[in-house]
Amino acid sequence: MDIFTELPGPVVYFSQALGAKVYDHQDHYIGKFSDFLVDLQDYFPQVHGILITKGKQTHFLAWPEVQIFGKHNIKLSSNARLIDWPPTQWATVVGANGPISLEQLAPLGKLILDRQIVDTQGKKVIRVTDIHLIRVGQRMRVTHASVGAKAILRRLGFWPMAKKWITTFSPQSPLIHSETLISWRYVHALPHTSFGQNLKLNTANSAEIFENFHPADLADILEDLDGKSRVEFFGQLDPEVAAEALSEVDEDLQAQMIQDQDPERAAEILEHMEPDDAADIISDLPGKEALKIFANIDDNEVQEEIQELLAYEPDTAGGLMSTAFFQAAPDHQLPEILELIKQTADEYESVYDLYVLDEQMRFVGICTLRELICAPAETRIREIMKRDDLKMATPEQSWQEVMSIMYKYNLSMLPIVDAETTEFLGVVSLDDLLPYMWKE
Amino acid sequence: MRVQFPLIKKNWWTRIIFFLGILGPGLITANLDNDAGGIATYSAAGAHTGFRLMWVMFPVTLALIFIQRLSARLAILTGKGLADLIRENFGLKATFYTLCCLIVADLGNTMAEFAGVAASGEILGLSKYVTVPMAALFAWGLILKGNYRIVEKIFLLGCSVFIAYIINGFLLRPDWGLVFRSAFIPRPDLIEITDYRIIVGLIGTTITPWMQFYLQSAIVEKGIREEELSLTNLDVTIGCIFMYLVSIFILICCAIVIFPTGKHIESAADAAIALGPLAGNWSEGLFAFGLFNASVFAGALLPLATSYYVCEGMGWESGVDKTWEEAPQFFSIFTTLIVIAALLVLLPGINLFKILLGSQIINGVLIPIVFWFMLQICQRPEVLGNHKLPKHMVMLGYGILMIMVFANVTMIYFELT
Repeated sequence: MDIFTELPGPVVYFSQALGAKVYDHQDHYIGKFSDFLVDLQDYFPQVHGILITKGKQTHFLAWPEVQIFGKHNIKLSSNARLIDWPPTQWATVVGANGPISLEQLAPLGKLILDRQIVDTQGKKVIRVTDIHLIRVGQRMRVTHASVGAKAILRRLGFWPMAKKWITTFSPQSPLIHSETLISWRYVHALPHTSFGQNLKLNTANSAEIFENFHPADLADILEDLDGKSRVEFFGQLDPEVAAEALSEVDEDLQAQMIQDQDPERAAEILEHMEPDDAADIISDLPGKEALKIFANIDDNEVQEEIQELLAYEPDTAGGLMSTAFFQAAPDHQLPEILELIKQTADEYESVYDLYVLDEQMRFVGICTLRELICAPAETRIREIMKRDDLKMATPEQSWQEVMSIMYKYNLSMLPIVDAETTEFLGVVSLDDLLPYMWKE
Repeated sequence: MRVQFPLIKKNWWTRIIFFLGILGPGLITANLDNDAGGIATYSAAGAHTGFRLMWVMFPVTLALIFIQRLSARLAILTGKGLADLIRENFGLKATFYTLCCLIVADLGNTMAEFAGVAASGEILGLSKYVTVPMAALFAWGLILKGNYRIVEKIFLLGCSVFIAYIINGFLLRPDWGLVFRSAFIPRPDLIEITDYRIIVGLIGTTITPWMQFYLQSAIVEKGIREEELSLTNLDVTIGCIFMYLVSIFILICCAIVIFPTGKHIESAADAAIALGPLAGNWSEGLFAFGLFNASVFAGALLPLATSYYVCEGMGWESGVDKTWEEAPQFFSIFTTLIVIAALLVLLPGINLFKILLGSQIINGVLIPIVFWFMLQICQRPEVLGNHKLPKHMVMLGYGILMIMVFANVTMIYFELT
């Protein structure tokens, strides 16, 4: 007998199934349908069972024991066996492709309906208004999350009325036939406090999806999440990806987010960031926390750099500068430079300007990569570098002063040099100044 | 390697900043109580009933502390706003109708703010046809500039004007024995039938639904952590006590200066007289300045906050940094609230008082519902885990809830008969 004889179409809306009355095979009322149980690691998760609620009691029923699944009524077969939910012991039930442990099953509505998810295609956080399931043989699979106005109207019971109006006043409106849907492939569920950490919420490879996101998109997602989900979500990211995303997050949130990670991971993330960004975050932390995280940074060099940067106010050249810059020696030739670039280029924001430093790290000249490439072979940098009237700033200068120098001479990077020792300390790039200009 | 850490030097300073940072949301939210509606209600209560109803403020403040502590607990332990929690725990329908009520109530509240702008402008001789559109434009401009946290700070600063009432209260040299007796000993036997409306007004302006949404979001935004729950509770309590002091001193001043004259407060100028002992001829100006500041800024914050909560609950895009295309609902709600509120206040011949009363009834109906949602959510182990509200606190909560419902039903009964 067909389990879906009482269903009009192929699509089942979760919100409409909610509250359907459940009867046993002798037509005794048992309770109300309250949730589907699915294995979220499936691509299009299959329904393995339903939850039935009566008063404060909730029971689980395996899908094969449902005889008829109708729009308003659900009838159980004679061998139906109700299991207390949540179960005291994790039993197994019969799935379409063999037995499945109840432990793997997640309540779909509780995790998804009315909650926020990450839409990995649109790359944003969005609230799910309805869930679409589709009939497949005698079973059901989850296909879409619905997020648009139509789903809201349908759930509020205003859709029939709204449809009449829309067809009268704007018959061409796309609202009538289409709905804003997110395919389940792009639905990334967020952790729920009441379910164990061992419950897998998504297909196995989902964590890697985010590694291909642009850090700015990830930052937007992180900003939009609520506090707890943010901690969880951020905690799952690879430290390098997390570091890139964190640099893009709103300043006010950065310190908070790093504080919510344990000190070791926090230190690891900071190590992957540009030292100037890392120093900014650390200076926003309360002293004790800052020390704890700082002590966990393994790389002594990074530690020193951050410490040096911390000595400056965040909106001065010293606070803004990056201490990772490409340095050359006066005697370098093109092949050596190219080799150096190959080895270390990923550490720097730019390798276009070659800052020429002597042995005492004093700034002696500047030469662009183009000049070096265009010069005759075997030219040493000292022969072509510019020595006089070098543009630079001291670390104590304000960002506005730095900005006006860069603006005047059309520079995208400006060297920062100690006023007394003329030691080269770092470079300020235009990106470092952008947030300040934006605020103005 | 020996770590030399520049931060250690400014440690005491960062610590103070940190403490002040946490000591924020409760204090700000409590101050939002002293907006146009609040000042009008407290002044009217003092001027019309003297010391008779002063005791009401004590239990009302206790109830406020209780409710705001629930907000703090929910905010810190879930990291979510109230609209968000209602949506996740009670579904779309409950959220939708709650938010509809909130919009209507806040339309009334915004009107009250604009009416406050009009009233304070009139003291200074400015026509309401000038001041109200300016205030509306300011509120709307806020969305373009997008820095409402600064507005909040200016608002707080302006609110300190109302400390004048406390100083003024001391200058009046009241009979402190009488003040303490009136403030703490309940005298239900003295209540007259016409007092019910004032009592509900006192409850309604002190415990407003939108404040609970506001406080919760503010705490969430601060990112306050679990270990700091008790600090935040302290912040909330201090905020409520501060609000209590200001409101009780407004009551005292009006009860001493205006009540014996038997005059009824009909305009802001009438209410300003109560500041006479401190400010003398300047009292009207001082009062107008305080009221103007409170109304303008609350009038800007309210519609903005409201559209944030509606979008949060309905799952719509929101944020002042978005464009109109990205977040159409957010901007329409915000704009509509301001435009309608300003227009209604300016409508010639409209009975402002009836509209304010109507919005107060909706406020009054809504707050028990919101409170009930909060109590329910606080009992759910799946939301708060081990931190769910202890049984005796739940009982206390239901007790407060019942008193609120009783007060509201009584008022509506007396209004209709």
